[in-house]
Amino acid sequence: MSERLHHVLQVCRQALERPAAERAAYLDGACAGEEALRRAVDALLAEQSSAAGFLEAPAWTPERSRLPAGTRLGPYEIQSFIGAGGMGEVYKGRDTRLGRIVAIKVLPPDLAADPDRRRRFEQEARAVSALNHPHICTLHDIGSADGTDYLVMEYVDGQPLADRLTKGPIPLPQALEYATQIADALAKAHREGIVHRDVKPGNVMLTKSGVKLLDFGLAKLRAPAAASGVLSSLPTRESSITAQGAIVGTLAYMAPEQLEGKEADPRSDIFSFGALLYEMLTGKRAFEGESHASVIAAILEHEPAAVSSLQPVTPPALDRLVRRCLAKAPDDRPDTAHDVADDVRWLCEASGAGAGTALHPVRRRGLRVTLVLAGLAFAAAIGAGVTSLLRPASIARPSVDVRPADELNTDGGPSATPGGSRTAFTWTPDGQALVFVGRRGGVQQLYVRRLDAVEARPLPNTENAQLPAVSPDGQWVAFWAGGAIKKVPFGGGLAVDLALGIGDPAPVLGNPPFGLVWDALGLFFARRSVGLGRDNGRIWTIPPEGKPAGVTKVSEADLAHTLPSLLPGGRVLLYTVNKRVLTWGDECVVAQPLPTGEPKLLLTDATDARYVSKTGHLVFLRRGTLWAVPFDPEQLALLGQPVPILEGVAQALREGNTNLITGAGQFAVSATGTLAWVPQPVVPYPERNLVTVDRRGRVTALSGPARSYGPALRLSPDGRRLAVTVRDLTEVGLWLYDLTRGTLTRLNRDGESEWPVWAPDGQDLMFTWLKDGRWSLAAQSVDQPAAPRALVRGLSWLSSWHPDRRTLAGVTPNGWDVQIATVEHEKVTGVQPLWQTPEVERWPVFSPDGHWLAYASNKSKRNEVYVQAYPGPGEARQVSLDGGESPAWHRNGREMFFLSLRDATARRRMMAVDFAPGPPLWVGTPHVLFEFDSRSLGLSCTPLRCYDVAPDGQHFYGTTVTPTPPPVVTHINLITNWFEELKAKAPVKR
Amino acid sequence: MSTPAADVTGLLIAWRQGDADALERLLPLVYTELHRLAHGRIRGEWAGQTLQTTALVHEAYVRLVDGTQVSWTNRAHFFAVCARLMRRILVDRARARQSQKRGGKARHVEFQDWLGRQPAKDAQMLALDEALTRLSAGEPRPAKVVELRYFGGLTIEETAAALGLGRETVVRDWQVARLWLLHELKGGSGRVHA
Repeated sequence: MSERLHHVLQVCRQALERPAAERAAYLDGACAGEEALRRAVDALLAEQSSAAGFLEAPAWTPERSRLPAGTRLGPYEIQSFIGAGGMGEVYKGRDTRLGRIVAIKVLPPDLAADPDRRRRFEQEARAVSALNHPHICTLHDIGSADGTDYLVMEYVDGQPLADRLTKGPIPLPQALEYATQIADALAKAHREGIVHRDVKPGNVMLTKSGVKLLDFGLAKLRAPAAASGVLSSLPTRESSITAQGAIVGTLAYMAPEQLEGKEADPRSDIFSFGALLYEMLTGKRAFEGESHASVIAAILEHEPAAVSSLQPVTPPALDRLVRRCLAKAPDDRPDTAHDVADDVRWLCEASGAGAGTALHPVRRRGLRVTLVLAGLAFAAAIGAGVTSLLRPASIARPSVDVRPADELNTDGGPSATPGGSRTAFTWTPDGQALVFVGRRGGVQQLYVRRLDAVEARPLPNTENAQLPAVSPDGQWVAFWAGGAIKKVPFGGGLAVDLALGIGDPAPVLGNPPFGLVWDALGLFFARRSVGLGRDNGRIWTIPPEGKPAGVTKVSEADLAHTLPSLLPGGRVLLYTVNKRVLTWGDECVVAQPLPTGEPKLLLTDATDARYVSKTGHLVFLRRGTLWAVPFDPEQLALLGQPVPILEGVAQALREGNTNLITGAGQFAVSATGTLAWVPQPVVPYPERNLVTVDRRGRVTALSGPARSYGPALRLSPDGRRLAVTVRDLTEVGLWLYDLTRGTLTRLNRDGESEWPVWAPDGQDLMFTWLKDGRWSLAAQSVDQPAAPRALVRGLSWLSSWHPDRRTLAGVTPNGWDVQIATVEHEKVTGVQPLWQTPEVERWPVFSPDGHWLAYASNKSKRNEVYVQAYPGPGEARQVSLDGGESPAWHRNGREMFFLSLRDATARRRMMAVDFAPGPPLWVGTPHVLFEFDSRSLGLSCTPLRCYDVAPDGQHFYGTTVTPTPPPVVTHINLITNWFEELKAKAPVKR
Repeated sequence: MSTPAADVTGLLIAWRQGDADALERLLPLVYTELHRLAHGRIRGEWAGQTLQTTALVHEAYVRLVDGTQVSWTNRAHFFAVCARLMRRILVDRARARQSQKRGGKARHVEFQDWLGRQPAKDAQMLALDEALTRLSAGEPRPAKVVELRYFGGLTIEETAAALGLGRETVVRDWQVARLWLLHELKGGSGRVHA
């Protein structure tokens, strides 16, 4: 008998290892002629639909299994317990890397057990984490530590709307303000393709800066795949559902289609929103009942009493809106949350005229606000909270176009970031004109646009200019162009060099400036490159009469200082400390008294701060949202909590040429209170597909989702897996793609992991790792769950293992020489340049037998591929004839591949050349395998190779990306009287 | 201050003398030690806790589960014993309450509404225990995984480490064992007997 059980479970196990679609075919084969076996296996597999969750909660857990204060979950430290919700326990905690307070939701253990569910969970969480909106609680991170899965969210200090509603209805103006914010948040999420699914008072927090909607999309994650609607599962699964603790409270806000088990869509959220609004206005639930069944019946069949029957002075239009939101059929509801938000706003601002209402001028925080509301009864109820909705009429939002320039752009060509990767405009000191970087007919230069003029005038002698800065007296405009910082008279004239040799372009990575500001004490600029040169990453000053001098000191854990600005009087420098190259999260804003004071940390997760002296605020960017916080420029102290002010301000993720993160924002505040800005959400890294390309250039996509893959990938020694990286806005993680199964598995997502290289035994990946502002060469075990291990500090570009298993070829940190690292017993015992030449050598790679090193050098003034005996002696033999980069060997050592140079239309060729290792070495004549568009097929990188070759040499692995048209900015938006808005949203206490 | 082992002795004596809460109080002791160990095992912090934990579990195991001396052959064995102990305590507790209530064995156990998300009712616990014993007779390894996961409360990773198995193996064992147990407990047609 036990043999039979063993057999049944074995077949069942095998079936489960296959994708669902292939199971039937497998079972047909495995159970051929054994009907009883097939029946038994089918019976077990049929239990899957009800097995989700079975035995997942342990038989017994201690009552107090809460995490004690001080517990570490990855980089997070638990501080205190907040509460328990449907999806697990919530704690207040601290991100030890950023010093930021966060909310941590510890998930129930059943999640980890089911890989499918886990994958869906991670997908959804990733989507949700991309949501960035002032009224959405941001999901910062998902992680796992010691088997505990957790979500890390923005810590929201406030009161749940559910608590507030126990005290009765909310006064109309405030209810409408909350409603607008909730609808705006839903509109934003729906635009990103995310449905909340569980809009209810318990998921809305009331904070000082408005509402925050919590737990976006998490309702979907809560339910196992097999779980269908509430209704269909109630008869048999009620206990399981109530045990999840979530449905009971939610039921009353669920849309009919959700109860019927249909897929929720944005209109389901609109229904829930309607139920919420109803309750805010009336203090009563729209659908009530003694039991689940009666609540469900009410939602499916009953119309709630009109809001106006409970609150007689409700404007008829509001009554109508609530009724439309609560329509049983999704088609009868408003189409989008955006429409709903507009309706509520309209109700707020303009309704009531027809209803014969009075105008109530209300003085509030010194602002004259005109309230137009239906009904006298609510006038008395107008209290706190009416700020953003009810703007004084004098705030205007015009825009200026950039004519005669075609577009606003600093990048010398198409740029992924609107306006380019550096701030493209600045105000003149009098606030009457904008100086901006425009492009017309392929020529980039500065323009001056006076607000009272018809169009901008070009500023002569400013070709290729970036980073405009106007002198305090308004007489000069400084800028960066052609490897120098220069100035021209504001009224036109010849350019004068202020500092030379700043960010010279190719052949090597220069130290381009990333910000320029002009003050009474002189000009300040930041320069930065990937490398680690002595002068890299500091803020520099150009005194009125003198040479550039560094004013900041880059500490070991600061990668670079960028985006300088000055406090009034020029005595204190503000700048951004960057600790990443490709992603956001670690950067902070510091203040440093000049000339030699100690830097003081002001803000974390913040970029591009500027001080608004008229109102006393620091404004800064955090992933595309402009924030403000009252600030004391004498004590260098924040006078309150930062609040989000303006969403969707264009902010550059990366600089166009160096690929460094910049964080520069397209905004400028004038001395007279006008905000100039370019609207655009943050542009994430483009999605790519993993592909194979055969020797004739035919591209085949590998199965699996498109991701924001980094360009570099490497095939494992056994040829079965690809090591790849995936970039999002806050992490570059290391992943494995299984070529036989088509699955993608995450190895780490801690900091930035780039340029993976397999250890010869296939057990470890080595990679360049950037974490907490420090570079290292790190190793990560592939099959054991373990954290990355830093082997040696410092930036390393790894490329190729020697077959002796202890020698690694790579490129020096500055990016232009070949270096050799020696690894013994998991330790890097030495790193040294192989040769130091005046030329640039990159892309080193050992031949499979270790006797030869191939690389590319520009010693003939352009890159050519060479091969040289290793360790020598011997002359370098040129392999390519017409330019070449990125060599790779066939595993048989008798053929080499390389890429031709990029031509004017961005095309390259994959070349092959035969070898006879000799001695003497015989090198054949290179021939073309295929030609490709290097913009869409990613095979070429600098300074290392980023494609790989299949073991049989018959195809290549790489990535493809669909080029998207770059945004073209033709207008700069203005908000006049912005100081009033700033003061209202972030009040300065006096 | 009394040692954990002395606590165990005291609790077990109390249990024999009819103190129904004694086992309840034993649970957190075993659980805590088991989990401290499981965590330590993963973090490589095994040394230092071994003696104390061994003493505690040894004492409890000998007295409650098996009258003869046990000697640990290896760590995997030790974990298995801890989880077995948890199981035994829970099952004993359920059995005791069951007999108090009904004065006899349960006749009908309803599993339709129990999906293991909330604590098992006593009758369910006893039925699960029996089913698990049957599974163990035919397929000891998945049964052991269930014991560590469900009764011991270990995660997949901890279970893999404790049993010296790969993670994938544990995931699959856990999956098929649960399907089989669920099918058993529901008494569905075409039951697969050990």
